[in-house]
Amino acid sequence: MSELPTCRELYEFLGDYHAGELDPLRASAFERHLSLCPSCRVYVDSYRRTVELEKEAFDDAALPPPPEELVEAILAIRRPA
Amino acid sequence: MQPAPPAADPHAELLERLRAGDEAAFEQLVREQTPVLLRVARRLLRSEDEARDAVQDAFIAAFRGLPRFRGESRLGTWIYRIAVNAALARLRARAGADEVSLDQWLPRFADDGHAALAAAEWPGDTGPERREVRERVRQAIDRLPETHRTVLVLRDLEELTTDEAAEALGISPGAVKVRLHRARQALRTLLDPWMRGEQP
Repeated sequence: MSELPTCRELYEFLGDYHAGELDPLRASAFERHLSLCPSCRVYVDSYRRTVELEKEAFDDAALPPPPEELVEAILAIRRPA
Repeated sequence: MQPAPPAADPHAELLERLRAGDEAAFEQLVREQTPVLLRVARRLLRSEDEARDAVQDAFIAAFRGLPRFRGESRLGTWIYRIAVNAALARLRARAGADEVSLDQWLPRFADDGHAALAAAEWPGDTGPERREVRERVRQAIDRLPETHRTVLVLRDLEELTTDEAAEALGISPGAVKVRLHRARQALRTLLDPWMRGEQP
């Protein structure tokens, strides 16, 4: 079993852990650290929440139709002068 | 003879009409694709005028490139990539604004590798203040240096893969991963006091 990572190492590999790309051995050591370190648990949770909040902040329900003047300007590119 | 487009492309018939020079097909393409292209251009450029110019740039390039489009990707995906590149080109052409350093918002550690500051919990539900949270998050993203903000936009908001973002930005996939992680960490730091209710 690999050595317990430090908080610094845990933070470093958090991106890969969040993406599910951490190799199984490292992921297991990562989770052992989390089980022993309340501060890192809180950090990992707030990191996950940050990514969720990002997506929510730009979660526009429906795309509006394109601005008519832009459509016209683009189509005018193709028309002979 | 042109190779047949992939059967899965819902735009296969439209593509044939475009290649035949059908003006109605061009209008359909512009009306269908512009909303998505404008959204990514706005996210990258944060300027309505520049975003519209980037979308125009993209269509100019797409109209010119259409004879060479071999249908190896979907038509919509192809134009989307052109628009991302057009927006990034405009971003790069901007006069070099002072880049803030991200380091000030990254976590710090003691010599033994422990976090210098214990992280404090964020309250569970932001339901009633959802609109305010959205605004705060957008403002915080805007404070990130462009090198990192663009990666965050392409990976987390536009949901490009690491490889797609790397190709668009002309950097390595490893650099995309590092920048994305650092951008998220910085964003977390920027949101932290407010999420914990310490900052009005």
